[in-house]
Amino acid sequence: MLNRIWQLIIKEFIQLFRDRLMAPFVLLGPLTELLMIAWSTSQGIDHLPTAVLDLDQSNASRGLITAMVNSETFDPYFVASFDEITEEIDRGRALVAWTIPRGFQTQLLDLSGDAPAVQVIVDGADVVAAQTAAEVAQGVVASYGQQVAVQSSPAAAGLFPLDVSLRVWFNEEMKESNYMIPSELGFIAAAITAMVASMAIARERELGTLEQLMVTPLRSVELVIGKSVMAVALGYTEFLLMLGMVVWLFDVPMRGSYPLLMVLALLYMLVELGWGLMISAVARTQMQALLIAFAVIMVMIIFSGYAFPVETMPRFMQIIANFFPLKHWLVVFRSILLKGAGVSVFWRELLAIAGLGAAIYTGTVLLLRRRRLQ
Amino acid sequence: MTSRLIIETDQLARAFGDVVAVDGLCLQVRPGEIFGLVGPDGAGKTTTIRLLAAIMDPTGGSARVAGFDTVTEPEPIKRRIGYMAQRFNLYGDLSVWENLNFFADVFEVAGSERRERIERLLNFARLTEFRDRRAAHLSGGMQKKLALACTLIHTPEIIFLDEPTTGVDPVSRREFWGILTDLHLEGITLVISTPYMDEAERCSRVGLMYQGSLVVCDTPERVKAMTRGELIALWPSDPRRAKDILARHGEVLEVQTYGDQLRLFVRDAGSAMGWIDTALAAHGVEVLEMRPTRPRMEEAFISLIQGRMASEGS
Amino acid sequence: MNWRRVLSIMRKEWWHITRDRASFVLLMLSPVLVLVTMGYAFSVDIKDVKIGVLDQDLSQLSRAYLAQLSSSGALRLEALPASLSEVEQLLMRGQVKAVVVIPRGFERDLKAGRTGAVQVVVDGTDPSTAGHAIRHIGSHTEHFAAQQVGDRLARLGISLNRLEPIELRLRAWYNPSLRYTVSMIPALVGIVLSVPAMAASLALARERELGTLEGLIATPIGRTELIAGKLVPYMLAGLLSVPLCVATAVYGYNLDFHGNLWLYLALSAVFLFATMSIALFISIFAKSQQVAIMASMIIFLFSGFFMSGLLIPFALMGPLLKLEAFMFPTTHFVIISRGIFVKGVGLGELQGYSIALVGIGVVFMALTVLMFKKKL
Repeated sequence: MLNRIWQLIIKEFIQLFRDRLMAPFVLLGPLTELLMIAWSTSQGIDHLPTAVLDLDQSNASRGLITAMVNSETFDPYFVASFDEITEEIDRGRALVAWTIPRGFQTQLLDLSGDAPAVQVIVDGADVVAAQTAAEVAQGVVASYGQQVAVQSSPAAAGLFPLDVSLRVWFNEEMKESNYMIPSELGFIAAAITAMVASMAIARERELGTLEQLMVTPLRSVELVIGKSVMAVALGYTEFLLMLGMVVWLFDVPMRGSYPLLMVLALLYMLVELGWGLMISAVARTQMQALLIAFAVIMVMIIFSGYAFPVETMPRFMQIIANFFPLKHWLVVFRSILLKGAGVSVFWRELLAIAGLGAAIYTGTVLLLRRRRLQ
Repeated sequence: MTSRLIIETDQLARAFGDVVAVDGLCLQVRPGEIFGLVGPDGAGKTTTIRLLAAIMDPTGGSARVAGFDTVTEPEPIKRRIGYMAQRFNLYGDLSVWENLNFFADVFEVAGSERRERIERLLNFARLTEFRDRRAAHLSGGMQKKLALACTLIHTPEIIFLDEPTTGVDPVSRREFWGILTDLHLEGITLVISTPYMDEAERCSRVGLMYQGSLVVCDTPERVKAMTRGELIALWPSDPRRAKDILARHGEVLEVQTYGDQLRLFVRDAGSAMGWIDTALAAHGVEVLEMRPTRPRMEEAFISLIQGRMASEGS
Repeated sequence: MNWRRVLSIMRKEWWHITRDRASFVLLMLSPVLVLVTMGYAFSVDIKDVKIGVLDQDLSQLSRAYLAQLSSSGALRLEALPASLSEVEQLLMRGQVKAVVVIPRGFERDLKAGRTGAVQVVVDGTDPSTAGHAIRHIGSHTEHFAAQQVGDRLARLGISLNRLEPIELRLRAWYNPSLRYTVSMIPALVGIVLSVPAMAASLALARERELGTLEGLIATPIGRTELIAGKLVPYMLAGLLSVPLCVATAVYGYNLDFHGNLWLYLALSAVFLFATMSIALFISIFAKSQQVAIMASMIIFLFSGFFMSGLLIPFALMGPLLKLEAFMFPTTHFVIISRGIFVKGVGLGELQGYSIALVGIGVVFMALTVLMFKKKL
């Protein structure tokens, strides 16, 4: 049995490297892609192009604009009329627009009257940027207001009797990239493995070589194992390359144990690959495999927590998310990277991954067996 | 050579990296011939046909097909030829009729002519009753006939067939050759590669390819005449030992084995019939049957290849 | 160019698409399916962040502060740890994202008019969630503090509403309540619409792999005809799923379609043309379907999701990334789709992006036709 599997593995590798484009594509493609993506996310949501309509032209309004610039979230440029603001936002040139009203300084310094109003318009069509802009704008306005108030009336100093001291753990500088890049890495490695594996059996079926394999004494289990090794080898190499890149190039901290991470990553790869093999067992042609894999991968990306933490999703989605190994893996992966955690922290996730793996593999072998009988 | 040539190659060569598939091939085909390309696997038959069909560029030399150069003027060639690849290359998910219809479109066969021709080809290939069946669901022989029908849709002047009958049962094979003969009688030039020697005998001329070049190129009769000496068919009780014994004999030029049968090329068949019996009996091998016979393409082929290999080895 | 031949390839291709019923259904429905799931996942817009409070003061005021913290939907009080080591456990396991530590003497300090101190410990792993927690804890704290000092304000002759020295009037245009679905679904259309392009690149690679291309190039069919014949059916299949996507968004997720539907369809067609050109360009080099799939997945799926401006606005990318994103059709289509769908703008505002799409399509199509050789 071992020999048969070994022969199959060799055949897979020969086929892979025979195609001169395939190997570099599979190995370098995702790596370059991660490089680009990580690069783009490491910048985070800041320096949003911001149209400013300053109708007051006073020291106070300029002070507010300086505070805005200092937040590094806004990159202001001036416009002369409200119509221009509409135009800039409609065309997508500005994502935020501030309007400072006439009389801003006067109202601000007169503590007995009403507070001056600053209008901030965000482009709701781009909700991620809009939300950040809205939250940061609140902070900028509040702290600038307090600063002015304290300066103008020393008595107001006691108005803010609670001092909040902040301590951030695990990702001390709160770098967006420390969260995003591991997600992207996990996703890309998973997607590549699943994609390569999903083609594996479908390809043999389409080209008619599966028939040939089926008449040999090779059993379904052996076929599945033989096919897996190559995809896992690919996925794992990919993972190590990407991990190296992420740690060296993007300064993502690695606080946990390398051996632990390596072992768990291999386990996880095996499970992720099961997904691909399952698709492969169902699909009759490579086209079908592609289309199914696309849908699965897109759903996977949702549960990677890349865009939104899974905890904020509707209840039903949270339940579904548990069926995707990626969700559990990212908890493990981030815990090791950022928190330096050990198995005692994430044993539940590991158990879930192992359980899913067992279920997926059993399903695949059963599916292959049934298809053969048809 | 009285008539002009329809295919002519000059030192045609094609290499794939270090492997030379076709090496300085000089080939001449006259209009209306059935030209057979024979040779062992890997001799370069498929590459030659692809080069002639203008779907592959040579790495050396040149070829003219129907008066056009295959590198600089491939499109006029493609309008005048039909090409049937070795692998089944029709659309499996399209029906017989849809496949024919598609190629009729591609070759711009239109109107009543197209309807008439499709009917005639379906009839000709005996596929009329299968016209709505998907090509993938046809038997191997029917697939080949459909592929041939598709290459005939535009009444080409030349048809290239790359091992068209490989993997086809004898009855279908016979039928297929019936169709080819009809085409030949219509005056179409056929270039066909085949591993079967009986098919080679049906050709007007055969070219024997070995390691990318032509060893011989002549009519089947003359090719067969190229063998040395006379041929004896022999059924000994122990073919293996008999072969060893006879191969050492000075009178024997060459021994070939066909199952239980040995075929011996000897200088003189008449005298050999006498001494073979005794020579074998001396080693305890009995002669079950023995008779003089005429060489077939197969013996000629093996003899020529072995001769070539021997001359290269020395 | 012979139109009959183009038509014949198109018809054949259409047969291929529709004959394999499973693939056809997947091709038409997978965009919608993905849209539905992703849309649903994004449909909760309030992030309720789980927090813990370590109350070391255990006074009346600390309990009032605690009540203030859990008074809105934005923060959910999940745990009341009793010690600092428990706080560490909670954060390590990710059970809470932040813990507020109310020190001993909290009430005493406040009552005495001294500045009290609370400490917030945050799990910075996910900075956006962490930031959300910090901001909400901060504003609750300010609010609580203001209530405590109301009497002192009166003495100073400052009205309570001046606690916020500047009033911020925040308005989100096009999407007043900043719903994620409003912004995400139109952008996702750009990603799911690359499915037909991926299928097209596979279609050409399949002919090569199965050997049917060999038969095809031995015929007088022109390469332009062949490419055009491949392109159109898949574009058509893609165009058919556009109304499905719009319908899903409008009826499934209650989005308003603000722009002109015909313009949307027309620009979708231009977008499909651009993606198909790239896809076919890839498949010239792909000897097998596997290579075609890997390449188109890397280009359409990864770039599509991460670099198209779906999450990080195009305007924020660095010059080099901008260049890559600029060559990538989805980037432009995300802006166009949001523009028409959400903002209701017309061709005037979108002409730059539309021209870019046409340019990308034409350039890659030209390269494809030039580099496709009718040879083995």
